[in-house]
Amino acid sequence: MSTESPHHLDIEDLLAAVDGTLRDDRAQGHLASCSVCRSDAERWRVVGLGVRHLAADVAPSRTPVLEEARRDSPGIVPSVPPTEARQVGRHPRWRAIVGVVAAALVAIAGGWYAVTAAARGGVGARPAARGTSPSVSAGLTAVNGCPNLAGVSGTLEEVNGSGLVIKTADGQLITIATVPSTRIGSEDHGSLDDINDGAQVAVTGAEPNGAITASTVTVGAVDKVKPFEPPQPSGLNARVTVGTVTNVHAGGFTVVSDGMPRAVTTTGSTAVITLRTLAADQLQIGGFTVAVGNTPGPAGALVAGAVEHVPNPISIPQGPGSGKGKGASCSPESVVTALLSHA
Amino acid sequence: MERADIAEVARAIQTLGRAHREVLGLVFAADLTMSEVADILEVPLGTVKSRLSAARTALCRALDDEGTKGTTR
Repeated sequence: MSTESPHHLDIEDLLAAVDGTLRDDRAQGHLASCSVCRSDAERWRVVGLGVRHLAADVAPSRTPVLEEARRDSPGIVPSVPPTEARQVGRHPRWRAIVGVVAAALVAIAGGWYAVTAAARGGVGARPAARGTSPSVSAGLTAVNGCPNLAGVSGTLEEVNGSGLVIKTADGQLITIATVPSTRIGSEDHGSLDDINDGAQVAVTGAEPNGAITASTVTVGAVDKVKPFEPPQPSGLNARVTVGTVTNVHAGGFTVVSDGMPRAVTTTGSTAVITLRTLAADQLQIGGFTVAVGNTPGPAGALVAGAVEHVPNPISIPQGPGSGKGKGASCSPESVVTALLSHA
Repeated sequence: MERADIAEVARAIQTLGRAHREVLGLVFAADLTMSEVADILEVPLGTVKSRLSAARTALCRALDDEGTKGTTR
């Protein structure tokens, strides 16, 4: 019960009352005798129904695959009603992690494109390496170390308002709900001409002598890349530098990162990836898409924190730090590994 | 609000501002706790509570406006 208002329930208690999970005896007693609080709780119930009605419009049915996921992995996909799940302490970092995933995907994809291209003779060739995240269902993948996160990757089949349907490589149709905070974007292959003064970039490359030899330059909304340095294959001493482009010239440019200018050398094999922020209705049907978010909400859909179009099915190398041991912690790396394990 | 049709409420929610829709979505659709929402939005818990309350107030206003339009048509 609220300490600020001893006579009435505070908003947390009211929502718990709506959920039927109000445990505090005093609060229950108060609710039973207070018409003001009962009326207040009823208003919140209506608000919740309205929100869930919207979600239901987005995702009209609970998909069998998610039910299957609940049966098979009760610890990963909540089997308790959402109202009870609300009372369980969830991983507080999940959304913050999701926030960097879209850009982290690009950092990984870009670096891996270059490696893959060298190994297989073509940018975007699909590598044999696979992620190690446990699969909670045929289409939905749990994120190692993140008990409330799941991801999916595949072809975008349908966009219905803020709802999406992704078809996985094994043919499963997964419903995704986006919310206003969902980060939606796309990445595309670009060219060196896309690197202009003032552009925000994330440069991936080796830095043997103070100058960065860029394997990949990602151009666009890359501000979230910085907290995360993707796993690199053994022997590839590359890192990600995020900053602003200046002094573009033939053969390179300068990136100013944390106020420090760093010389960047580009070559004919430097991959350029452009990032765009999109609205849901700007996503392209048929495009390869990855999404990560909270495990199924009340309407049965994956509530996405990030949705990203990527140009090709991709996977990531099992480099140092991406093995099972370290993967036990919830990190952008584990999210990306899960997302791409079905690619 | 208690007498409003749920579909009306849903439509009214769509007219709310992003911040209001966001906090409602995170609490009721994503089913997160208010502490989790505070962590996600990087705001104090009290701000989440106040945004929720403001969202409901705005929703009531939107429903009232809709009701007024309906009665004046």
